[in-house]
Amino acid sequence: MVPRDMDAANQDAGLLAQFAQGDRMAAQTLTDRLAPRILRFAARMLGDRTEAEDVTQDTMLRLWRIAPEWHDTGIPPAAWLFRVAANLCTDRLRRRRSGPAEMPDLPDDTPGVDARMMQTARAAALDTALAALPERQRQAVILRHLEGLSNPEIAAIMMIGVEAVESLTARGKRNLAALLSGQKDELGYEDDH
Amino acid sequence: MKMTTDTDENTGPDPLDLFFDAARDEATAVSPQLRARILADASSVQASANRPQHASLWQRLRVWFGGWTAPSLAGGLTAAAAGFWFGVAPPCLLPRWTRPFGYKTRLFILMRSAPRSSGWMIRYCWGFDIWHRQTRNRACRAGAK
Repeated sequence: MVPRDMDAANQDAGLLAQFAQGDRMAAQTLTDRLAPRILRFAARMLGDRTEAEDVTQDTMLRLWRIAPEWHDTGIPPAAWLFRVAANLCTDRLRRRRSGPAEMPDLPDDTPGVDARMMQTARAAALDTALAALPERQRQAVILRHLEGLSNPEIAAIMMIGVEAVESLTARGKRNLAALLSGQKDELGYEDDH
Repeated sequence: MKMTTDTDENTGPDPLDLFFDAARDEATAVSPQLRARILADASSVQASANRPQHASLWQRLRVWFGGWTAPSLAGGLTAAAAGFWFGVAPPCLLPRWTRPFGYKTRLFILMRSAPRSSGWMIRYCWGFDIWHRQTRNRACRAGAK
């Protein structure tokens, strides 16, 4: 974990301690720091904004409840939140039991589409491809490449070894590349590997 | 926001980075409603944590009796009443008409009148009765002095 992340983790832990002592501003700061990340993660895991918001609220509620008993367990508050959110997402995905989502409709007039629309289309295509990945691969890829966490952090969140994280990430990326290769003309994707 | 991928060092830019960059640029902001819900939860948790824990007598009794308040309380009160009554009027195995006789005669009457199987109980009770009387007499004598 790089020092910047350590600082962030220490700040989160400090804010959590302030929250436990009744500081309301600490709750606001923690919400602004952590809730967007959890929401992004849950939205990509579940592919449903409403469910992702419920998971985010539930995850933050668990953080508030554990605040008085929080102690240094070797995992920063943000990583602990990702672990909780991942478990909640897994529960919902198991209940849902739906098949893989279809690829989204993409704009036909690709040559004339502006850069912003292309960005949006790529993001949508990635979200759909992520939804088609096995759950553990999806989780690892999101945490590594979209949330920017290090492999040791992801290993702590997923409670597996660093090598297993690397393997999951690599397999996830290979599957993503395969899923997205069919749209390389529309989305400017060229898989040279 | 640019993040390196696992293959950057070996194979140059990863074509998937285009998608990762696009996805990261798609802002997923927390709506004001969600933020308000989260903060309401936080306030609720803080309020419950700061509330002084004044448990009522009934709640404390519940804790003492492990949740079985009514049956435990009824049993306890019955036992207390019985104990109080035994203190006021100690039980006596022998009827009142045998009082003029001596202890040995009374023991003989008792052994003859009780079922054989209850002999051990009679001996114990009789022993307690004698001990009780002796103690009381000793206390009376000490008081008279």
